[in-house]
Amino acid sequence: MTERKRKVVWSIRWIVAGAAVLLTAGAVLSVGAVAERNTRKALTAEIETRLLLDARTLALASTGAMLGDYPELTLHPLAKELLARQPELDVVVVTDIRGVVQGHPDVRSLGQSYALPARLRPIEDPHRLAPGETLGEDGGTLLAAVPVTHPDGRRLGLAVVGMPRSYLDGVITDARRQQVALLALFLGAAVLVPLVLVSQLLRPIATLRHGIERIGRGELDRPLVLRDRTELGLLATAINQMAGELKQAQTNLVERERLAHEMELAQRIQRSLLPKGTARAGAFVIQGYHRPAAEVGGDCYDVFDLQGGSVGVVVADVAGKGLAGCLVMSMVFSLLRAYRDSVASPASLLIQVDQRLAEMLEPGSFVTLFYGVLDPNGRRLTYASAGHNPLLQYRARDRSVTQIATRGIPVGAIRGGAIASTLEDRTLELEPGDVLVQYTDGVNETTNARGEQFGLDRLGRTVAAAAGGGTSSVIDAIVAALAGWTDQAPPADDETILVIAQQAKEDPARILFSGDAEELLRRARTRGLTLALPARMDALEGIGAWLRTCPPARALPERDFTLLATTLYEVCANIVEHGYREDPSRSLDLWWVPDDRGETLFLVRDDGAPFAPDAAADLDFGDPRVRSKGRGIGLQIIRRATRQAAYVPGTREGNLTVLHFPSQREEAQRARTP
Amino acid sequence: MPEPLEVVSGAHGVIVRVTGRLDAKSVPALLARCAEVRANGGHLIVNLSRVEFIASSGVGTLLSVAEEFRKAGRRVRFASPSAPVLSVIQLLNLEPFLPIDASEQDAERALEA
Repeated sequence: MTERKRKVVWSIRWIVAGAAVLLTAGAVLSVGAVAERNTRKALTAEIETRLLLDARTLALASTGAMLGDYPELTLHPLAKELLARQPELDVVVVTDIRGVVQGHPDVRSLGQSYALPARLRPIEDPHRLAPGETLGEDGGTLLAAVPVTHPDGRRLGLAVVGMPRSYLDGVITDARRQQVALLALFLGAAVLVPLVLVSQLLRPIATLRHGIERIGRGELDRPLVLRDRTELGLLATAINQMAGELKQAQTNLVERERLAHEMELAQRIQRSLLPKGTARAGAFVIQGYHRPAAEVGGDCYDVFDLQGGSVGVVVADVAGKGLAGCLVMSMVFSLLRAYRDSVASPASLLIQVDQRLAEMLEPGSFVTLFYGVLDPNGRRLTYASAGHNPLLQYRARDRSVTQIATRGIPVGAIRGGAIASTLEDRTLELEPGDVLVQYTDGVNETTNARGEQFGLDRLGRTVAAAAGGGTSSVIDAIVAALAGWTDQAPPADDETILVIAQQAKEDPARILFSGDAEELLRRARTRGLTLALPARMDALEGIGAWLRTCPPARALPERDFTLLATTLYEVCANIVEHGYREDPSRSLDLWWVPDDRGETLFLVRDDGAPFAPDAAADLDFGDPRVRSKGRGIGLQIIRRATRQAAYVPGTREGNLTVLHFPSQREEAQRARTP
Repeated sequence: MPEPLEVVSGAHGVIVRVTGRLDAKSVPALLARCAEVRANGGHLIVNLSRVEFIASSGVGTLLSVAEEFRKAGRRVRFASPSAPVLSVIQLLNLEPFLPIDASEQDAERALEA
């Protein structure tokens, strides 16, 4: 299973804030850059203009003096004054027409010769120089030269003013520094303001994120608290609602699981209520069938031993399904178990049950009950029916089916014991081959697609056709007919069928176990010979040796002994392999159960996993594929060596296997019969 | 520990004698040995006189060996099965599928034929 990687989540806040900062900073920087360039240009232009103006002013101011006889007397102080006013200038010169310095801040320079540097690089001209004017740069000096002219246009001389380039650069640098400082300030603001603003606006997102993560972890109890008027507030509300619904769904799910679990428990209760296997009582064979419509059914049947050797049979139907029906059923059966041995008459028993049950049942709820007692030494069924369906009786003699109805009312239907007057014991004498069928509504009231009920007549005909084959054949036939009637649709109501057949031939069969393998276990534990086996294949080798130590073994012919040992080995091997998967720390118990009638009876108890042995249908060894595989032989051995082998899984004591081997008397009889 | 198989060469085939129990533990050795004989193209006699107990796995093995030999066109005989072996085989009505001889000599003669 791959691990889910923690998703990398990019914070919206940082993205938006970052973008805002970048944008604003970018804007500020670009504006700043452009402004800086323009400033530089303007400053330079301004300084150059000023220089030029200074030169022009000097030239104008020098005009008068140049016309006089001693120009230097005026011009020297003039130059000095100019320099004093603008100390950054490093050239202040006025020359006459011949290039002789007439004006200069420094007296010593007067009378010298001065000429403009030859290689004067002219500055690009935005200044609109007048003719004769020069503005240029030489090395590190910026020079402006303006001719001194007589009002009538005569050239009198030249005025030159110059400043070092470095001064200009200095001014620009200062200006730039100021600008940068301002820029930095704005940049700071540009970073901070968007950051703060966006951060604040989007702070709810952090809250949202934590809230969502909490929900993701399953903490649905704390709602998101977000007081925000933007869409984020709406989102928070929606999320809270969603979390609430999620919590509700979870609760529902937990509730459903709990119910399912209870249902499962009820199913188990019901299963343990149902008897297992086919029971025999004297010449009677009794077999039941139950299919619930929902997980647990509202009807049930039971077969049990009574004191004195009789066998009791019950078919019951509770009005109401599901858990409630099953619990009522459980109560009914408990009551029956409590009273059945002390009340001989079925009608009286039902009246007793009604008395007790009426206190416990809800109004409107009732139970139909059929209760019968079979006398195994004879052929008689004594029964009473509290509102249950008509009993179907098939007579082998004339192959007829009769519906025997009674007028009893259901248990719990009317309080106050009114039931007593409606119930009475009835008896039936059965002949060999006769079959009795009791059932619940789910059987005869099964409707097909057209809404027609299966009905008692059809049921009777089905029974009649199958009666010759014994109880299983009758049950199989009814089940198949119902399936055909509804076209394999799932049952709408619980189906319960109880079939009692009297065997056609006298067969000294005895009750092996009538749904009470646990009773056999009790007998085994108190009076049986036992062997405990660890769940290991090689431990099973000891079975033969143990058998030889059992006194009853001495009476057995060698062949019988071999088959006994082999069969027991096979049964235990099945359990060790399938039930325990060879876990030597677990064990199984084997008993030779004493039987007063001389039967050879074994019981195996294990608490491994119950398994469903393959239906031991007859293997066809004529098929080479079957021979090649060589499998399924163990079950064949068990089936053929025993008279009856029954597997009863999931009892309170674990899984029980009951093995009934033919007694010597039977073997002798079998040998005698052709 | 399962008893080891005794293997001798007979006149017409290999003779494998099984002693003790023929159950899930001892079956693999027998199967392997029989497969060897089949692979070498020979016939086989399995002497079961000293088998004191046979489980379903043992029976299955005998059946499967018989079937495999038949498919490979080789012959196998089961000689002098002990009483336990015979009881189980009869219980399951397997005589038609397991060629049984009363003794090793009878088996040899049957192979010769």
